[in-house]
Amino acid sequence: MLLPKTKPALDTRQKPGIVVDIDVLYQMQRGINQLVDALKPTLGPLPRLVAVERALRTKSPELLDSGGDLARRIIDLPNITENVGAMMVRGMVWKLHERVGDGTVTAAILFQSLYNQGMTYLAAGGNPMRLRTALEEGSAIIVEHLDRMTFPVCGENQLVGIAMSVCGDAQLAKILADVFHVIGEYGALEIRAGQRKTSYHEFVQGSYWSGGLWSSVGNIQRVEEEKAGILVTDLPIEDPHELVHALKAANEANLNRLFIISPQISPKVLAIFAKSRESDVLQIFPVRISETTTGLPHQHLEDIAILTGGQVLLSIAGFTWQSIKSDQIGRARRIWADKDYFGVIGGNADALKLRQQLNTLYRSYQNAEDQIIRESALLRIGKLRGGATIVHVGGDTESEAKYQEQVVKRTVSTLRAAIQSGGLPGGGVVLFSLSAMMQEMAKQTDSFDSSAGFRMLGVALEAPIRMLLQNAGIEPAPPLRNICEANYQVGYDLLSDEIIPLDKFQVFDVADVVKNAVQLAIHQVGLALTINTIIHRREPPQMHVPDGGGN
Amino acid sequence: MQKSEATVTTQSDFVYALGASPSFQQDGICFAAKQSGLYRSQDGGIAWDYCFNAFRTKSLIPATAIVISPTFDSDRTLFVGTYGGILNSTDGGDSWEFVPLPSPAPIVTALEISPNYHQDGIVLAATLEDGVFRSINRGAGWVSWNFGLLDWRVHCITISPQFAQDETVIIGTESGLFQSKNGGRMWQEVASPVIGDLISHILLTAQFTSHGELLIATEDGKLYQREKNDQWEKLEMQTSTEHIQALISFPPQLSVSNRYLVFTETEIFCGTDSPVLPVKEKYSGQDLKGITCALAVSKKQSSPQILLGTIDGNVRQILLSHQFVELTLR
Repeated sequence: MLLPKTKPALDTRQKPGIVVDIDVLYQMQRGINQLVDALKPTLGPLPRLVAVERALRTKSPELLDSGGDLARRIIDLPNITENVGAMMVRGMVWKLHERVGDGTVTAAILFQSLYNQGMTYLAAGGNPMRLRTALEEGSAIIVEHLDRMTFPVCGENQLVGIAMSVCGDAQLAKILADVFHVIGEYGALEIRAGQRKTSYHEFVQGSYWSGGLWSSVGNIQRVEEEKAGILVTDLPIEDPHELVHALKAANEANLNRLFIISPQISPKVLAIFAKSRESDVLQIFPVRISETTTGLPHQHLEDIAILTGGQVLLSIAGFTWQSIKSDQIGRARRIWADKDYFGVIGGNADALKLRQQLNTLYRSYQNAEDQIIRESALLRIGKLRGGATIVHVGGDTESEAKYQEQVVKRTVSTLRAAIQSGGLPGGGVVLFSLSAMMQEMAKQTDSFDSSAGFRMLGVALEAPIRMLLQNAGIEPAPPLRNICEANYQVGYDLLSDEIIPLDKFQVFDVADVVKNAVQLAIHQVGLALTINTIIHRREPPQMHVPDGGGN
Repeated sequence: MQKSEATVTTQSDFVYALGASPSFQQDGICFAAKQSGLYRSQDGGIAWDYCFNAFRTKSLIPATAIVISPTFDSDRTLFVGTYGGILNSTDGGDSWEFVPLPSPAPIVTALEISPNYHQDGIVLAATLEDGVFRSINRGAGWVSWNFGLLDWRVHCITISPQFAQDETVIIGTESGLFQSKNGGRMWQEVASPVIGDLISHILLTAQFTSHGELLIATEDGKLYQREKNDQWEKLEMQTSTEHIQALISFPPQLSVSNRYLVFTETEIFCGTDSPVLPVKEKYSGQDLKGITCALAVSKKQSSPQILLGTIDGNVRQILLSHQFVELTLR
């Protein structure tokens, strides 16, 4: 939405109210605890679901087990000061969800533990700014240790372990691990609603795009042609005579099957194309692509041209139907199209040009802050690298299928991040081991504030594993004692209810997720504890969007 | 080459590849994959039989690649690449089953078989335009696996000796080197100084398993060695820019296992990979012409024996003396 250039006017009823000092913190604390307590049950491989009532109450409720999604649904608490605290956590959770797609509940639990301990520290006369400095210092130490403990993720077993930690479903974890074992971190993956009760996957050869045959190509449901040519353009085809040069070029290239990608083809021309299917000399198949949501159409045209060793003929670059030459037509071992999709298998790409294009997209993916740009780059990389996977998500009811789809999306995002950033032993054991280290550092430092900060971090880092055990219905104290006695070289497998040496422990977390969760939670709690005053608006200001404004 | 039977012959026959029984020293069985088809010798390469007599066709069935089962002694299995598909035999080459590859007909450039074939049944086929095909059922079915493969024009393929553990396969394409660490299902480009060059041959040295060492030859006659820490070194050969036709190494039990041989059309060079030295010893002879492929068949310490395929369709044998200072042409 475009905001108006002038500030919106506030009427007298919207004058801000002011809430001052310690009362602020206690009320914020209540809000924080309410929100985090709502998220906590969803942590771990044995979570409980949270049902969110729909606007239309006759519909079945939305079932969620993702902290990010859940926090997004909680938009307001009745008490406005409590709401400020809750919204601080919500903002942090959503930021983490957008950044790494997981770790939200861990971050929320760390935040809650640190905030509650910080309140005690402040009540005892501690200085919030000094505490914040100590917490940030501790955060840097923790992340440094996490970096050291990170290992590269490779092999199907590790991928299964990571997938399990997110989805908690052995069959789904196996499917997605197999997928990523094949497609790697940049591979193309599409999630579709399946027709079965259970989820399954299929690997697709080559690359494909949404779009497909122009609807009036006879009654053809699907075509697949060998050693075919492809002409990629954004030029419309209005008149059959415009095609003379294209046909001549196809003839020079010794082609007898030609696909033409064009955004607009007149019915008269389509009829001629349909007629061409009776010819042995040259059959023409008109195709359109419609990847408008994940990148500009001309980017996909460019990619198709590169994959097939042709050239994209863009009107903006001055190309016309009269300027077409035979070397601008791409080729592939096989080209197929149906009503919804168009695909290329074994394109005749110039391997160096293909690498150049990929390198450009890798840079875009790695450097872009904008999530849409990153997603678009990832999608294009997957198509250019060739090969795709379709995961068909199943479910008995609509609610279950939608829930499963969310779980798959989250697990996919986590697996990608794991391959990119590496893994850590999961199940909260890593943070628990660092908890002991922070407690030890608290004893050794001379600074009162640093000591307090480190001690608080020590307690907070133990909170996630405690919650995991509680959610699994296990009394935390005995397993935690066992892990301590084993010098943190064991992990607790909640599914098998066993203590397992770390070298055989098949539960993993994504390094990037853990690091981001720790960093963000500590940073945000440091800010939250330094809040002294809240200025409320009695009624939230209404933005006056000028006529015609927004997009 | 002698033939014991009247066979299909052409003016310009060409030996694409050679294969030998793992027990060649005892059974003397070896195969030559030629433009005119597959030939088998059961006497160490002296007399040759045409193996495709069972196919009642007037047209040639070129044999473009061959691989022999590591347990050939017991399973008698071999695979032969041909136009549009792969032939397999489980009786040492007497009878054949043709399994077509997906259309349009691919040209098989090389075949590899898992060292653990008797258990996993994995065979891999490289093709000229269609990437890599993989069979996990002893050649009964083939599936294209080209995820991440940026160039589908594959000229050579090699499989790790520790394939059962590391699942590593390496291929050379028209524009670079690719590696799979999941048995040939997903490929990643290997950083090398030859991106953009056609890789014609790959050789895993005895140190591959421990240090990832390997050699690659490019179409234009360059030879590179990957050492520890993924460092590449160009190996200089005192020759003109002849194409390299084959690279071979020797089994680890031989004292010469750290040596490898490089074959051009008319010359043989010897190199050693530890320490890295330039290829320096050179053999040539008036009868050594038109080499197209080579295969080490003997495990004798004293005189490694090598089969050479030539451009005119012949198979020759050479014996190398201890430490490769002399060669004898048979």
